[in-house]
This record gives sequence, structure tokens and C-alpha cells, in this order.
Amino acid sequence: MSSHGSGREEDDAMARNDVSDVELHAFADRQLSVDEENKVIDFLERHPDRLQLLRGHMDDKRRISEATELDDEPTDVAIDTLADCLGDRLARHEKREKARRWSARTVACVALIAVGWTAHTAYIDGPATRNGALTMASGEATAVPRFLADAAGAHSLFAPDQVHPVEYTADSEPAMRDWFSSLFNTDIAVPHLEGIGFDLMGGRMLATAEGPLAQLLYENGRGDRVSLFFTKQQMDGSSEMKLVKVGKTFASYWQDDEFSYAVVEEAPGADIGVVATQIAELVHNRGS
Amino acid sequence: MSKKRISEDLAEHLPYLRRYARALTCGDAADADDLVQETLLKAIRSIERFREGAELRAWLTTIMVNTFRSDKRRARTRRAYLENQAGEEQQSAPRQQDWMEVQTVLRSLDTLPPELREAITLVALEDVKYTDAAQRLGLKLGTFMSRVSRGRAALRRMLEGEPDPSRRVAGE
Repeated sequence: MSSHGSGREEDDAMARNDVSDVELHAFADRQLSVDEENKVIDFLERHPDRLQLLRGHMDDKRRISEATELDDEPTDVAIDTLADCLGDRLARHEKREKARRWSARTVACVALIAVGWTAHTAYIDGPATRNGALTMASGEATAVPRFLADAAGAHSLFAPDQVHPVEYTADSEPAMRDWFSSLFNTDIAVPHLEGIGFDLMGGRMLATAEGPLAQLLYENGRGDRVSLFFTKQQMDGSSEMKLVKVGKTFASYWQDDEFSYAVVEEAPGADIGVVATQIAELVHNRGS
Repeated sequence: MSKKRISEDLAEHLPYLRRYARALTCGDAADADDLVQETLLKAIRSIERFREGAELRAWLTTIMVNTFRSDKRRARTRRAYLENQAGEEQQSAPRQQDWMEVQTVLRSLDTLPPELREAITLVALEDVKYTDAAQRLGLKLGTFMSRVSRGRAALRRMLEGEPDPSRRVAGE
């Protein structure tokens, strides 16, 4: 096309070239939106020569496909063997990744317990309210996630119960896991903290105004009980771990891309923090 | 994903990988299967790089293309294969015309720069979104679309008996 013609000629040229070859191929491969397709169809109606050329390209595309057909040839034994090996490795890799994610979450739980015991002075002291306001010692108010009040309440109510502290006992972990996974619409694995002296007692699902809130209850040899809560409610602000006192309980909370978490405890023995810190490193190393 | 599901996915992807390998190696079945084997070996060795949720076929295709690009030896064996094929007499007379057509397409593909061949064969073997195809080949979308357009035009010229297209990848 000449770019030096009259205005009329330029307009005609623009009309002739308003669809590029790249767009034509994208059209033939069904990559365009309806509007874009309509534009190409208009163009092809005005330019049957281009339609003919495009037809040739599509024939070539079919020929390439036909030229590479396998004709029911058996797969090479070596390929089958390698594919089988790859399948095994992929399955193991996915399991490891899943375990690693939970290990990281467990490490975070453990670290919070540890930090909580070495940083009592950093706790904000005051009652949590349903609207999420927490009064600081100085009288200044700061916002905490709504689910913390539910978590603190549930821990205070259920953790001391000697008869029925959980709905699903540890023996029913698979059923509990399925139930949690179903409600959160994602695979849930239950973290195990035996390495730091906390056995899983079981868990329950709580209904809150903002959605399901899962509670897992753990107990150590001295009878100290710690709850891990997690929910899909996302918190405002950063994902940094924070420590607060909510009513009679202490709570450490944080979030990642998928869940918000809180570890809630009454005031346990001071040596747990030291033990937890040491074990956290072991758990982290195992997960990496 | 369960082991069973992974095996099923692999069983579905393998024929595709073998076909794409054949397109890249211009029909040399033995060379193509070598390429698939190397791809699987590399995948096994680099399993830690596979991210959960990533598309397995896309990941394997990318490995295959990178393996193909890095193996210059393959181009020489392919040419020898095509020359050998051209000299052989086809056994099945009824299918001779089809066979000739297939050989013509494969020989024409072999004259294309590998970069153009990668692009046009990828979209010939499956209905894949251009954005996904570009990602598999490690290209920007615009570059990929340009290669599809130029690759097809070059192939058409070859099949119509016009002179070899430029083997230079230009205009990107």
C-alpha cells in the first residue's frame, strides 16, 4: 500500500488494511472476542482473496496435525516407565508441599506461643468487644479482627470443659478434616504439635456472622490447653503476627493469603515458650 | 491431586507431547521419542520447580521446547532422516498420496526457522489460548502472534513451491 496517495486513497487503503494478518490468524484460531470477530468478518466479506488465503492456512494447520498423528503406535517402554516415575514424584512432591505449608503454619503457631511468653509486656490489655474495638492501657482504641472475640469466647467456654471440650475427638480426625475441608471448600490438614508436647484433643466448627470458624484444641502434659482457630475472614492491615489480650485470654493472630489464624490460650506456665521456640526450629527444619 | 489423578493426566498428556515432539523434529518418530524421554527426565530432575496448581501439560511443553532449542545435534539427524525418507519407496499404495502430502508438509516445516515451527505446530495440535501458548514458549503474546502469522505465511509459500523463506527471525 502506498502511503503517499490522496486522502481518498489513504482512506481506501486504511479500509483495505483495517485487519492485520496477525488478527486474521487469531480469528481463525478462535482467539478473538465477539466484537473483534465481527470486525474480521466484515473485512473478509469485503476481501474474498484474504478469505481464500486464510482457508489455505487452515488447511496447512490441519495437515500439520495429520502429519503428526500417532496411528495407534504403542508408546515407547522407556517413555511409559519415565512417565510412571514422574507421576510418583509429582504425587510425592504435592504431598511434601502440602505438609510444608502446614509445617509453616505450625511453626507460626509455635512461634506465637514462644513470642507470647517472652513478650508479655507488649500485650495490649483490655476487653475485646463485638465490634472489634480493644481498649489499650493508655485509653487509645485499636481495631482487632472480629473473629478474635468469637475465638476468645469459644476458648473460654470449651477449653476448660473436662467432659466435652470438643465436638470431634482426635480419633475422628479424618471425619473432622473432611468436614472442615467441605465448609472451607479447600483441603484442610490438621497440624500436629506432639513435638512440642501438645496433643490434639480434637476440634469443632463454629458458626459466626462472618462465616465458619474452625477450632482445634491441644493439651500438653500439664493440662494446659491451647486453641488454634482459623477462618477465611480476611483482616484489614498487614499480615504481621500480633499479640493481644482478649478478655481473660491471650491471643496471637496473623493471616496468610488464604486464612486468618489465632492461637488462644489462658495464662500457661512460663517454660512453654522456651520449649516451643526450640521445637519450632525442629518443625521448620523438618518442613524445609 | 491424587496419584491416580496425576497418572490419568499424564496418560492424557503423553500423546500430545509425542505429537508435538514429532512436529518439532519434522516427523522423525525415533528422534521425537528421544525428545519426549529427555523431557520426562528433566521434569523428574526438576520436580521441585513444579508449582502446585500449575498446568502439567504447559510445564512439560516448556521443558520440551527448551530441550529442543538446546540440542543442535537434533537438526542434523532430522535432515538425515528426511533425506532417507525421501529415498524410500512407500509400501502402502492406497495411502501413497497421503504419505506424500505428509512428507511434503514435514519437509516444508523443516525449512522453517525453529522459532516459527514451534509456534505454528503448537497451535495446530490443540485448541490452546494464545496467551497460554506464548507462556509455554516463553514469549510475549505479541511475539507469539507474530510468529504464528509469519510461520504460516512461510509454510504456505513453501507448499506452493516458492523459494525458501528467510530463516532469520525478524520483525519482533
